[in-house]
Amino acid sequence: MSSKNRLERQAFRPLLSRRAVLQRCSTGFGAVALSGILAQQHARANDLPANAALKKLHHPAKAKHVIFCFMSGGVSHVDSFDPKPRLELDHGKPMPFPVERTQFNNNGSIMASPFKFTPSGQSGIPVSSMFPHIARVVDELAVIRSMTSPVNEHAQGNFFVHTGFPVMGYPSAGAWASYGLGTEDQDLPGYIVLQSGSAVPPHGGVSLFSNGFLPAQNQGSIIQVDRAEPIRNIKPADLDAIQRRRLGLMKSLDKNFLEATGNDQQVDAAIENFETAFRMQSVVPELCDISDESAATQTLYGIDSPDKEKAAFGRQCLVARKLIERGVRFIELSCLTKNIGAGGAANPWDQHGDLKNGHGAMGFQVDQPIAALIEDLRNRGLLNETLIVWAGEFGRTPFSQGSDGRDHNPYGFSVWMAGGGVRGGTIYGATDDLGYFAVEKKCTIYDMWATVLHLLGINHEALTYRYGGRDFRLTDVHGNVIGEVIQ
Amino acid sequence: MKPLLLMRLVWLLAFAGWVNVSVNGQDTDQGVEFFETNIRPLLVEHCYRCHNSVDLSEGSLVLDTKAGTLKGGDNGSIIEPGNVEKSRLIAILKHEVPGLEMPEDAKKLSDKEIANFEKWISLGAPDPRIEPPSMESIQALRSWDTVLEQRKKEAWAFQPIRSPTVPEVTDPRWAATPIDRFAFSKMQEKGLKPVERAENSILVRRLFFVLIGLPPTSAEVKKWSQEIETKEGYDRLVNDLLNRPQFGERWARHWMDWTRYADSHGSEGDPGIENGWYYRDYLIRALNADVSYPQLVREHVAGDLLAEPRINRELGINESLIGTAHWRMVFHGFSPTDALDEKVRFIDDQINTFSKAFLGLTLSCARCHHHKFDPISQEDYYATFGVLASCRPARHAIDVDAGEADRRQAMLQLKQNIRGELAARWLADIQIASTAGAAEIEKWADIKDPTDVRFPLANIWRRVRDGEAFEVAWKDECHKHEMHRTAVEKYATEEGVQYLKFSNPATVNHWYFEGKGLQNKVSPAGEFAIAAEGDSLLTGIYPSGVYSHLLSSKDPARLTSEDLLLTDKYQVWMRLQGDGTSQTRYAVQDYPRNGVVFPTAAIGPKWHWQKFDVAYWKGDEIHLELATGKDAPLLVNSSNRSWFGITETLILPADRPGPPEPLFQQTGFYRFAVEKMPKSLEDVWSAYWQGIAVSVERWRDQQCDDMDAYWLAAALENKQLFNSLAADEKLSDLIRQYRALEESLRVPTRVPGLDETVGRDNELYIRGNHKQLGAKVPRRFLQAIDAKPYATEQSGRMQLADELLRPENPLTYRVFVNRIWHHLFGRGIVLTTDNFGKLGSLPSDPELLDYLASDFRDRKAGSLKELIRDLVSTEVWKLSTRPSEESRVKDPENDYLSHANLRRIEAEAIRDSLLSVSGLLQGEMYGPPIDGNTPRRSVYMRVQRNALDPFLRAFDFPEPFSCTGRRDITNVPAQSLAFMNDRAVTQWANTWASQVLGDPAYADDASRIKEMFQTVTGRLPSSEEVSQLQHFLRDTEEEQKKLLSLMNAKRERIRELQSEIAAVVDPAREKLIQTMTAEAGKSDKTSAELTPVSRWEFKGSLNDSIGGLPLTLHEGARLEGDHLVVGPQGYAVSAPLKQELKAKTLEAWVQLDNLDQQGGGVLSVQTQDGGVFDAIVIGEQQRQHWLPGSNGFERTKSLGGYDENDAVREIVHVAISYHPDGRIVGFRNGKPYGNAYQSNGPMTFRASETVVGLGVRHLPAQGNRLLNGKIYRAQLYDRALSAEEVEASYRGFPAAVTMENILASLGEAERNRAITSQQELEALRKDLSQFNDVAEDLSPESAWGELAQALFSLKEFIFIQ
Repeated sequence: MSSKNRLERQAFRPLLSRRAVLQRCSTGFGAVALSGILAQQHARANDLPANAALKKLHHPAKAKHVIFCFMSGGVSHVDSFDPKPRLELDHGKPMPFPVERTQFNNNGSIMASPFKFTPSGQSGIPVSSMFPHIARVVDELAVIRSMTSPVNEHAQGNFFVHTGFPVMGYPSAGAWASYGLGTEDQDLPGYIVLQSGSAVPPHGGVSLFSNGFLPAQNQGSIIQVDRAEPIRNIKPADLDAIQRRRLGLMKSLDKNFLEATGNDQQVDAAIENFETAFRMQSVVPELCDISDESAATQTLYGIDSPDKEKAAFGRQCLVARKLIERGVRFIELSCLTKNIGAGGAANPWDQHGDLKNGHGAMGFQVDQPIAALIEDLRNRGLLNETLIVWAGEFGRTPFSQGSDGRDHNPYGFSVWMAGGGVRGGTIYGATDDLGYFAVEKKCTIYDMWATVLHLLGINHEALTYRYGGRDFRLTDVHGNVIGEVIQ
Repeated sequence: MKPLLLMRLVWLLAFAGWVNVSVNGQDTDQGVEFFETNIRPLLVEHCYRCHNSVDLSEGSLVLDTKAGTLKGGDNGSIIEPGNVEKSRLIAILKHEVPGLEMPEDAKKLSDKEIANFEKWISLGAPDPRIEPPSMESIQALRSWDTVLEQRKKEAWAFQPIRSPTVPEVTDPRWAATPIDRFAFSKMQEKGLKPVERAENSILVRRLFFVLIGLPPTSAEVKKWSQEIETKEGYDRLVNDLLNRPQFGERWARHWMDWTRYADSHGSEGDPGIENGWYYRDYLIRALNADVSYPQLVREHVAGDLLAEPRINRELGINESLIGTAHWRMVFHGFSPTDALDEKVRFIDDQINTFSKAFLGLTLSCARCHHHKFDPISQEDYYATFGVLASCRPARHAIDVDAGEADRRQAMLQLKQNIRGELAARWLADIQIASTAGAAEIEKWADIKDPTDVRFPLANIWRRVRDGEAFEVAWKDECHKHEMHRTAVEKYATEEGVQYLKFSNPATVNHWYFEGKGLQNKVSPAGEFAIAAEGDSLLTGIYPSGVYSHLLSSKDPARLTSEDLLLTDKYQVWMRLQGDGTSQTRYAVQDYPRNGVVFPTAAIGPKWHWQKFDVAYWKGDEIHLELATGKDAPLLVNSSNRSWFGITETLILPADRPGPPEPLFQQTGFYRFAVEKMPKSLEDVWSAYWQGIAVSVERWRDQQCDDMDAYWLAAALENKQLFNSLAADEKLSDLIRQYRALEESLRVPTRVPGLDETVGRDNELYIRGNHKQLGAKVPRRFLQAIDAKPYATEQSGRMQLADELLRPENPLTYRVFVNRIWHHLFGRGIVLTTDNFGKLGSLPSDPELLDYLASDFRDRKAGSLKELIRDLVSTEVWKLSTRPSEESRVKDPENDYLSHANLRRIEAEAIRDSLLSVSGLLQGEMYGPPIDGNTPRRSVYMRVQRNALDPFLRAFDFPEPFSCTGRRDITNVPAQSLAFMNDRAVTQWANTWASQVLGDPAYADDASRIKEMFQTVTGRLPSSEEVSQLQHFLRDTEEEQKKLLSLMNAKRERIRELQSEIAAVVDPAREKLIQTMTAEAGKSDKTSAELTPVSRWEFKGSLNDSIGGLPLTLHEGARLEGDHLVVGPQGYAVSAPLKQELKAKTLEAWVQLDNLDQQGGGVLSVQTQDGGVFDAIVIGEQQRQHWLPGSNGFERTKSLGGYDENDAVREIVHVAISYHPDGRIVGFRNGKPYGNAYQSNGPMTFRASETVVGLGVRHLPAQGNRLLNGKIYRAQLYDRALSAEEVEASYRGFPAAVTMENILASLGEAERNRAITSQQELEALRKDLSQFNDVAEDLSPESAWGELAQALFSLKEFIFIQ
């Protein structure tokens, strides 16, 4: 379609066609409610579920799912994936050039990393002693060392990393993926955020997982994998028999109303919605039940660890694998706090002080479970179609905050990707020799999401949604696919 | 356009084309070259402007791509490649087609140029253009003014509002109202026939929901269904509803959607918007009072600036002021390192919301460039930006008290009298004191604090005592003081980059004085404040400066400087005094929050230099701010009294030392004494008293200067000048009179708003980047409506308000009537309520929209109630929702309203309806926000950005970040799950069911069923429906009976198993505990030092081993071995407390029978009737969670701790400490459990009126308040234990030995038996756990509860027809 025609059509049609209204009305977790209309659409040749906004992929996908390991609080890159020998050489010396404003304005001198780096795997990518397990699977990783963000504080940084905008109100990356590609499992949401133990949403709150202006079925659903009630109201309040009887009565009475409305589609969808909800009551607890997993698997993920946080995070990783098996599009994992050096529940990696212990403990928490997840997916042949993205909202300064912490550094930090379509064993970009600013192949969060969408078979510029007078996209008006990290 | 520029563009576009040549294989290189040389430049210059793929395609013709050129326009193709004859383009270019002489508005192409076109066509029209040019290049072909003009011409919403002729309609049903005539004509025009009118009962329901957001009762349905048969009856109902207070509640919530109402700012910390809720109440009052729309618009934009604000006499407040609060409901980032970036963002938030809400325009789209589609320039954006950037976040006192001026006058008079009386008294005192003689100085010999007013005398006395000659010592002291004084004065003036002394009004006329406390601006030396309470007469006497409390410390005050651009690294010093509740800070780029690099400081009670190092902010703009407790723009504290004073500010380069501390309190003495040339200590003594007497006289006569004031203030503080209420009757009488008047002044209510400073045009930010400044843009309105800059020294908000309402602005009224139409009809005439621009939808009936807008503006004078009355009284509003077959085909979107729209009600209406039907809804209006547990209307629920209510969110309550004129209506499983499993819903259903059952009005099940059904649906059930419902009741009851007996059998077996296990485990535990206690006693002294006020150990006794409060057992509670057994009905209560309890700690060691208990209390402190209590509770709001329970959840919040999984198998230790500041902390097994939180406690529990309950949440003991389990120990402290203490206490009584420990201590056979029993028990428990919810409900009523819940879940309940 020429762009002129597109414009004209969009300008003069009612903003929401009846079908669009119905789509917005469709059940979040599946198209069952719209079976009538959507079945017809499904009949056409299509490699995406009927509830996908895209008619077909823009190009062949290399990954079908994403697991976003969000390291809330900001992992120090110079202590994890970006070794800087100069920090050791110049330890205790002042920074050789003026530094940018920091949030705590308590800038000390250059600080050597308390962690040792070892070249790992066949690729020889250096990984610090914080991540011995991930070092084992490092050949699956493409480490991007030149990531940047425009935001220097947590909440807005979190919004920025999740949505491409530094404030609330915009759709999260997971919502975009779910919106564009739809959901394969009718009884599960397309975007799921896992939590366990003491994990809470990062600063900014649940709006970080928002569908923004996208249809509501794309909002991130929080599943607390170790709770008796993993999703709000998912635990039946009545015995099965009683609940079924009530639903039966409702359905029969609702039918009269449906007829009275002339079979209104909204009403029909709302009636069917109860069926989906009813099924979810059993599906979700099953997913969170890991008792069927072998002891070896549980050990692999660290679920038997005496470290409560590691065990809890391991459980998220294991449930993530189960969700991948069910075809969930986008899963986000949540770290748990160890309450060290300003790292609270919402920002566990935020070691403004006591970096050595704080990062050490946080590394210990996520290292083994994430490595296990990668290996388990690989063994099950799922790593090919699952993209793992590991990132915090920024990195940390090469100079100290106080004596033994590091402040926020959005000017250059490391993230990595692994799995579906990623060229493993790659290092991309570089920071300066102190690890302060990205200097080579500088890239942005937009680039990261452009690459993720690309691997999912989506042209990031073409996945748009019209809202408030603009066509919005995850990458705003920016973003370049980072070709070098792709197979 | 300049030819040179044009050529460059042509080449640019041409070059873009070349890239594509290789892509296009069909055209020859020569052909393409001919095109590029001869054709493309002509197309670009003459055709693209109106025929492009980007923004304009006149006649549907697109000439900027090959495809478009070949396709042609509305009249078919214009070229046929290879055939010049058949190519219409040539005839058009030759001006042979009348009316289509191209290029338009330009002269005919030259013959040679036309010949080139002919040649090109004959070559087969080679054309490499596949991709269209960019928007930028197309727009560059025209000047912005041209673009704007053209866009404005084409934008329907920018055309003036017409007064269209009302169409003639012959059908009498449709001729009655102009709106019907418009609507019916439109239907006729579209070949549609309207359906029938909806049934009366449906109309009644529709009116109730649409107008007040609540369902009618069944009685109301019955009554009104008959009455609205006549027009008079219908009008009566409409009037009735419009006049109900619930009308304002309903429509205020719509309005709050438009202005993205929120009670917090979001981001990290999510700080509250203190008193933002006054804005919600303001809307409710205004809508109920039908305040006109233009008035409300003015108040929203500039309510603080109106010459004649709207005063609410009844409440004594200035309503207009409150309207501006919406400007403050922005998202605020946390402690940004780029403060200007944050300012740009929050002003963008204001502009975005404001422009959508009132203009239906997406002005924010023009932040980085001209709007892509609408006649809005980037300058327009920065013109508006300048208006808002000229304001600062603020807070205003809204109180208006007519009588107050007189009282204030009287207070001033009293102050005069007090001054006279006090001076007389002091002079008399001085007379006496001065006679005492120099020997008195010796009493001051130890005063070594150089700031003490007596220090000079003490010092000289010491020097003389130590052998110095008086004269030498005296001269030296005088000299030293003088040196110091001049150094102090010189330092500020010589070192300071800027030095301001607040003695002179002229030096601070660039400061902004807000609030009654600063009415007099600069005060002369000697002003004083009278203490509002306590024994002191005066709070102080002051040097010249600015003070907030000279009449009353309740008075609001906020003093801010002009903007200071930090061109270098500086430090800021302010000379301040206050009462410690007032605050000072520097605001960077108006950022109102705090953070490490945004510090604040309390202003303490002694004169001091407050320093701020602002080197970090070099390059940014800051302003200084002093505010009383409640008057900071955001960082408020709750003190009703608060004050500050300031005398100087000093800005120094960052590397300078700070200013020396002045000793002005002694200067007055030296100044006086030096002239007397004292020869001895005696002379000095006498000079001291004479001098102070002179200062008092000057003070009395209002002649004193700063040095007098400092001296008097210091003497007052040292009690050299008498300052006590006790000693003087006449004075105390005056003071009491003053205090009585002061007491009568209200504590002002401060509401968020904006401060005016000075109007300043903002630079345009190139590409929206605030670091790339363009030219300044004058503050003004949209160029397309009024390009005239605002001629004002102020921000321009007044002018902006005028612009919104001026006749030339067609947007404001259209947008508003469309919003109302949307809410009444479920769908706007313009579907996109917040976007009237090009990307919005077109009005389905433009004449009707204009009729409504002009009628609303000109004849209804902006009365919302009149508008609504008119609309709901139309025939078209009353149509049935059931579409005709014809309309399904011809008008599937129902643009032309041949039937009404079926709608799901909004989140708030769903919750309100559930509460209303179940009889729980409280009618209380207004006030601070509530949480979802309080059964009041949802409009009052707190909108906490980071924690929006999950029930409301499930039903599409919008995230508050921009204007929402039209909510999403989605259908997600969370909604069904809420109806199926939300405990509140179940509880509401049960409440409703028992009410109906208990109501004697209903004789039998059938009548109850009918009543309930009608309440929910607004109609009577059919006989078939009645019988379905009856069957359901019977079947459910039977099912429940079956389940009950099954459950009881399982319970019985559980009890057996428990006894079996206990028989093995309890003795083993006892042994373990003894060993461990003994060890703990040895190693841990701390626990021994903790002394509770009460301790129950249950070792064969119900006595309190410390406080002597024995327990009484009730309903089968019993002692067993070393513990107390409570439940299912059993509990224990102590004798009344012997002491008052405020801060406290509750602590217990407990084992639970099952994990599904929901609300059982372990240990509670409560009034004897249980009306007020604090308790350790399990599972009440969240299953398997420990909770600090309290009456009505008043001091309760979730601790958010772990799921309790162990307490069925082992004893756990639970403690809750209640701190004096209201903080509540939970502990489990000695460690903090979840997160501490702030409550509004602690509650005071009075001696003898308070009891302790065990196994019951609170009395009376019934329902889920009872605990099922065993309590091994319970302790009560009269203070809040620290975390360390709780841990010590836990370790001191290690009863919580784990089951693993116990099992390990058993012999193998016993262990195996215990394990087997335990396994069976676990299995049974798991099995039973799914029964537990129904367990409570398996009464005869519970089937009715099920019925009620089924009715709640009916679609007919949440959809209105």
